[in-house]
Amino acid sequence: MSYENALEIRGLNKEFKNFRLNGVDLILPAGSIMGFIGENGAGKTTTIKLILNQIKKDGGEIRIMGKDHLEHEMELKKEIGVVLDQGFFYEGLSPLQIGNILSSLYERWDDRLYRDYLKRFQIPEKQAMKEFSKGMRMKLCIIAALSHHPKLLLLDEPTGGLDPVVRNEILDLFLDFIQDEEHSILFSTHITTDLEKIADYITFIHEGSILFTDAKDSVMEDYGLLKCSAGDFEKVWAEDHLGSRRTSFGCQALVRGREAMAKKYPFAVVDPVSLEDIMLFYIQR
Amino acid sequence: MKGLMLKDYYNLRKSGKTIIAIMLIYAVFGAVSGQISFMSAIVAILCATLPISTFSYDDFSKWDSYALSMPVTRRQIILAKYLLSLIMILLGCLVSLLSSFAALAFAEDADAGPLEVFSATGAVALVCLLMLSIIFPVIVKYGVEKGRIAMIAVFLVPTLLGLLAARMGLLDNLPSADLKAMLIPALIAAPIAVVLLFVLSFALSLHLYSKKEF
Repeated sequence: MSYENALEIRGLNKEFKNFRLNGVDLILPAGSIMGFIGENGAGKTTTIKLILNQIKKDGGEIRIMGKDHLEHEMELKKEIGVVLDQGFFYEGLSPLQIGNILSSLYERWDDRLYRDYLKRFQIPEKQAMKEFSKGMRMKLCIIAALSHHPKLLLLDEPTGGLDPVVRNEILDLFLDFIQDEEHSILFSTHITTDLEKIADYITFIHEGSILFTDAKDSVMEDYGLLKCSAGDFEKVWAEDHLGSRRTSFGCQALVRGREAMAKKYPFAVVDPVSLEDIMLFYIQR
Repeated sequence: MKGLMLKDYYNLRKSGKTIIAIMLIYAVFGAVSGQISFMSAIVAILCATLPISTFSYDDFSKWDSYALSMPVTRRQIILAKYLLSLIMILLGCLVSLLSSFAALAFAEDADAGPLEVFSATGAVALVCLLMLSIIFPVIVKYGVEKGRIAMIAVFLVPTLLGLLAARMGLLDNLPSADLKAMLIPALIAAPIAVVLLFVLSFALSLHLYSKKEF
């Protein structure tokens, strides 16, 4: 393998009337899964559209598997599997028809693999998509993205609105995919619990800017939820916490460096915090 | 790119069955009533409006965004639309020719003969190509709804202008002798002009599509 990073984004800029992507930097090391989190409208979908050149960037550099994404656009797109938030085949088509179309658009389309996936997930081959449940449709999107043996998966909200059983099936599919160390996944979602399960890295985007990007384990070990009474909270220095909220029991605040904080404020308890809470605290600041 | 045309074909299949049924009804109608001259027009026009529907299907499913994530160029996407239109117009003409001649074979007092059938079909094919040449760039830039309005305008405006000119007496003094001399050159020039316009339309659509963001 001649490249270190599946995806390298530096200084990505895009300006719209009401929104701006500000100098986004992102590095997805090969062989890993990166969770791309942020609230609705934060810029996740815009970033993916810019990577795929569906919209044109105003500035910045994007390299996929070491190559510039525009100079080698067609060559790279053969290696990318995509699940988009919006955009797929017309719902009147059946999986069989979709397979036929994709097999002539992708050189490496593996029809055998596609049909096996359809069977495995019990998706009827000849039925029109409009009669599918949401879960089946999502599974079909993912299967379509996997069946041409891509090296990079770009997923925009692939598990939204799905029940926990289906979500787990889909996460298993991704874990299977990532077994090959040449495979990488960029997983954009606001369902942080999925990422806690499978992500290696987390990048958090908010209002067009990257707030942090780090290994998931580091994030989960570093951040903490400081809990104490409302009265005690006044003793906590403002620069030590990243936002607070009142609960019926007292106060909670997001802090970094759990051990250090626990030592500094012995009257408080500093617990591990979920990704979702980290996101909430940052957004509500 | 074959895949793109295949996708449009699959999308149209259901409505295609209705079209075929309508065509059969017209064929029978023509055979029974002897009025076959309008059949050429009906079929070819039906086949020319189906390509416009493919844009609707794409819009509805937000297909363009998905297509651009694949190793498919914007050029291939537009080319597929134009090629498919060409194929469908040709197919439409073929079917209308076949059904016209079938009707001729059965009708006792048809209102037209083989020569009329060929020339009418050919003329309609050219008109359809011209219509699509004008409408496709409109659809690419402004969407399918405006495209359908443009389609009506393409027929309405020349007709209204012609009626107006006739009313104002501008057409009264046209020297009729010239028409016969113009016939052969027109027969050669018209297809060339239309094909040229079709190609120019492709270039324009491609330019407009390349600037679009999905």
